[in-house]
Amino acid sequence: MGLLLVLIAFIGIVFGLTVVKVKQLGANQSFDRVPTPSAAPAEDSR
Amino acid sequence: MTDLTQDMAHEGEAQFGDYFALLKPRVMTLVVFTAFVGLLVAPVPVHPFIGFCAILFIAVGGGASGALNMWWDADIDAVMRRTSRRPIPSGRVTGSEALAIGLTLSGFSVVMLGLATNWAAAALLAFTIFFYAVVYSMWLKRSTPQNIVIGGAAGAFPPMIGWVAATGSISVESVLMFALIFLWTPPHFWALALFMRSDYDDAGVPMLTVTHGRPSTRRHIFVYTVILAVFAVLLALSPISGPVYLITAIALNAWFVFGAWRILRRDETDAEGDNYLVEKRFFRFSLLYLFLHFGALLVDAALLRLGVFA
Repeated sequence: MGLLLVLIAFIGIVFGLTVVKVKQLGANQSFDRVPTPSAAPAEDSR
Repeated sequence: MTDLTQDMAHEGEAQFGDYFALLKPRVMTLVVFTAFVGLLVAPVPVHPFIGFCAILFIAVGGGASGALNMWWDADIDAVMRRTSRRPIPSGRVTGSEALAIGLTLSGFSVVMLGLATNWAAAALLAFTIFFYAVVYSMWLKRSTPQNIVIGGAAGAFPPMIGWVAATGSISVESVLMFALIFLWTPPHFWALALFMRSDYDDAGVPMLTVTHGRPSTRRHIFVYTVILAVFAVLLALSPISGPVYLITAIALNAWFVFGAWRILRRDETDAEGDNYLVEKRFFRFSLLYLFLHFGALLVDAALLRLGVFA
């Protein structure tokens, strides 16, 4: 029973760590097949 | 019949609690608290969940080194009254089980701390486990009366690991926290050695009481306590300290030096007369001493963040 609780807690910790680490990466916008104007480099204004 | 069966199972088979006892939960509380303070007084904020994980993995690493220590010291633990009820000497856990648990949890805690925080903290945790299990347990403990003095470094690393987990590097402040525990360890354990009487003699562990005698141990306690007190009060000048720490340090160290002075002034006849009351009180107070010093650092850090000292 004790070991089962430890394993469940471990899974919860790994899941929580993953969520926190991914969130800390922040918004990560990059090019994909769908045009995203906000990700395009700004053009020089002439 | 059912009760009898359960009792027999309890005596013969290891329970989860027996394996947990291998991790030295009492020592772990000190590891957890000092690592927690090291993490929180650091100038770099840490996400609460990552901070929780860091403390957990540092505690597991400390526990793993405790299991390795129990595996190596099973023979002398069986001889000493204080340790004879530990899981291995009492037969509830085998030595090979303790070794396997110790090695597994060591690797697990180091890797998980590295993934959760940074690899500098993980490397420091790995070194701490190595220092406690190999340098202290396997080498120093049975070979020199300086075992506690040098080996005390193992117990002093947790606040430094907490600091490194937050900042990614070792700095002067973390070394100061390390030094506080490092200097505290000898008088704490020598007081224990005084009132545990024949335990260390029987086990053949060259504690100062065995190699240099009890009067010399009393002098050593006093000298080390004075050095500790001077350092602990001067720590109030460091960037991680504040008024709460200063007041706490002055009060606690005055009392601690007084306790060491009383130990110095006594001989064995006096001590046996009151069953080592002064030595036992000094030992118990030393635990409170360390918790309150680190607690004061924590309070000062909290007040600083709240802008009270700004």
